[in-house]
Amino acid sequence: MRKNLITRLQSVFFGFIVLVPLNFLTFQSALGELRVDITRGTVKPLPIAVTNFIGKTQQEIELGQSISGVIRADLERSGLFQAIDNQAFIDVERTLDTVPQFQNWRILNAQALVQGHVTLISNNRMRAQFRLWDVFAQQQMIGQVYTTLGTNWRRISHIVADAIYKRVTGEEGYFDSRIVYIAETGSLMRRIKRLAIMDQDGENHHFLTDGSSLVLTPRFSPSRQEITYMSYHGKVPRVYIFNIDTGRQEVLGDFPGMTFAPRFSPDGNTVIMSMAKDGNTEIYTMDLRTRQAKRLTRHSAIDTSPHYSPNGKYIVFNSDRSGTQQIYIMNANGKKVKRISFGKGRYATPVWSPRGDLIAFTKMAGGKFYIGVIGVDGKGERLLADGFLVESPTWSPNGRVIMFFREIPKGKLGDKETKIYSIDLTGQNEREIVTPMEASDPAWSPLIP
Amino acid sequence: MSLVLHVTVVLLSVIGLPYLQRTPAKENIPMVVELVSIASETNLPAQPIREPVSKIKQANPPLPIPAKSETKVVLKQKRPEPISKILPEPKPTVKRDLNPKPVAKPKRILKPVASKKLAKITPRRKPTPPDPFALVLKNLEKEIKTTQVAIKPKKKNKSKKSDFEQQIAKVLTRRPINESSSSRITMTEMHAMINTIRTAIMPCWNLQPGAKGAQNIVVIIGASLNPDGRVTRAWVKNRSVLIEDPFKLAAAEAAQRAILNQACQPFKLDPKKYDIWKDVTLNFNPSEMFGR
Repeated sequence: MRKNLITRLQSVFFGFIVLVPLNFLTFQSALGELRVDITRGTVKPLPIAVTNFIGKTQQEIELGQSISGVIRADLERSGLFQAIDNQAFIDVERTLDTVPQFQNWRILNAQALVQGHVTLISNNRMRAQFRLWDVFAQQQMIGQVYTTLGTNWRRISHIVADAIYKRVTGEEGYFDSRIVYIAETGSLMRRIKRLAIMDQDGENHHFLTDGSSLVLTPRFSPSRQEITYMSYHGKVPRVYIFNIDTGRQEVLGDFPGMTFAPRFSPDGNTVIMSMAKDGNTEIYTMDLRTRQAKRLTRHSAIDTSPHYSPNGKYIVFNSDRSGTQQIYIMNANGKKVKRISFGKGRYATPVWSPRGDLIAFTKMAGGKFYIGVIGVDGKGERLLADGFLVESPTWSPNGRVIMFFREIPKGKLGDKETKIYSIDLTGQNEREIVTPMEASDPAWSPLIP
Repeated sequence: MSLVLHVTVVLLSVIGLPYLQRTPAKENIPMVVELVSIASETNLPAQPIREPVSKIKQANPPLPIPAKSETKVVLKQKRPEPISKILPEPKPTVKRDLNPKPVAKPKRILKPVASKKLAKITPRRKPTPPDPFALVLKNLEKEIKTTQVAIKPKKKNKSKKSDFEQQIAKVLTRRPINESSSSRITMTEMHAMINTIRTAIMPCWNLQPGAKGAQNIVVIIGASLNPDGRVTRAWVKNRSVLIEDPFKLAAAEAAQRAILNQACQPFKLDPKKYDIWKDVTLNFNPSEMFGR
């Protein structure tokens, strides 16, 4: 009997000390939230409403419409935004000083809303301000004011578009930038190639050279309003530097052989290029301050198309030292050469992304040309665009978009048409860049300072 | 009332605790005495040794048959004297087949199935050791495909008749959400809820696959829901981690927009279970879309 009593007491005690905390645990856990893992989404443009910038006078209203039009076009061209038609707007706020009626924008499924105001002030100056709203979160994402000359309204529009792009995507914009390219006219036998420059949206187009000498492979300086390119001034191809502001051009160095494929270093103080002499092509650098040249590669194979990494520590180039044309990386001093491309076909014109994570290239395989990207470690090769001839990839300043040119056969007599295209890093949103005439060899500038 | 309760607890602890300690001692002591009397003449260690032998027998057959003979030899060798020597010898052979020592126990349960199945089961357990973060990713990847598979083992646990301690262990190891079954929800119902929310949100989650490191950005969103299944509030739970990097902040806001987008609402959930889904945590992890 006593034993039974003890056993009972024991079990009561055990139950008490164990069950009470257990109940507590259950209560606690009941407060736990339902957890849902979302592992798939969609990839589509963000619906955005860009209202016309508000103005008081007729001139301001027209200017506001123009500014909004440029912003809308910039964002849409990126492929990441879908501008909602202004005609669909229900009730547009007439001031920037009040919080928008978000329900009116939610009905349109606008996820972001841009409102702006433009004022013309004295001395041909203007002030533009804008606010970007997150419609679902009902919060302002960014708001800025710019004051500038009225003639700069396009740049202001691009700068606003860049700010919106950056705030929504997290990466720098690229709309306030320019493209330099080779404008081509004339027949195949009498082709005239001129250096031309335009805004990234094709506006403000003008020529930099008159076409009297052949110009190829223009590249922007990252720090100055300068372009380096190869030109057949005279009969020998040489690397030149052209100052956009002054229009002055000069030969870069007095090399004994043919120099070509020039590019600036990230700090803009050095030009790296190839020089062909006695049947061998090697990579050289020239310091623009001291005009000292330095040879980087020493190999019997052809080493060409050098390009610095964004931090200036490495150089990517192509070489046929392994038997076929492949991509290699080496230290900026020419040491530690390492091959990174191993795919079938030949690789050319490697260009390091401003983001530093990828290298764009041209590939020739199976009778076709491709524009592709590959990781710095040689992994993750992706081919983004193809064609009878696609060449000369160049990165947008933010490393998100690649521009290149495509040669399209036309007619029977070897006639062809060359156009510039842009494509998103994802391989989506390929677009033709409209130019006044045929165009090749594009080079994207950094953001305009 | 509380005074009575406290007094009861104190009394019970005074009376109960010593007996708790003594009774097992009382029961064990006679057992030990009996065993000692036998073991002094024979060899107690022989029993623990036999168990690993049987393991080896079942684990080895698929591979080298000679292992059997080795273990038999070991048994024979045990008789002379050194138990300590005998034990280390089989270990190396065991190690090959039964890699992790702690895993050895579950294998015993699986023995009756077949020796071949043992070989199949071991690789399943191998993937479990990776770090917790890898586990989270793994679960996220597999969850859509293997929701049913995930339910089965849990059902098995339920069906088993377990003693009191096992029940405690179960409750302690169970995930917090499951415990909300105090509000009468089955695993199937819960998975249905999760799937409803997931499939509703997926079309509204707009990713930026070209963004740098997009595949590695995991956003955790907390959300409060109305009884009609609409989201009233959503906030980024790991904002502090994401806010420093504009890419990550943009990804966080995209996830927040996904849950706030009314085009993907209301979630068609059972209003009777509102207590379960009124607060939701959503892990937005795009790694699967990048083939990871």
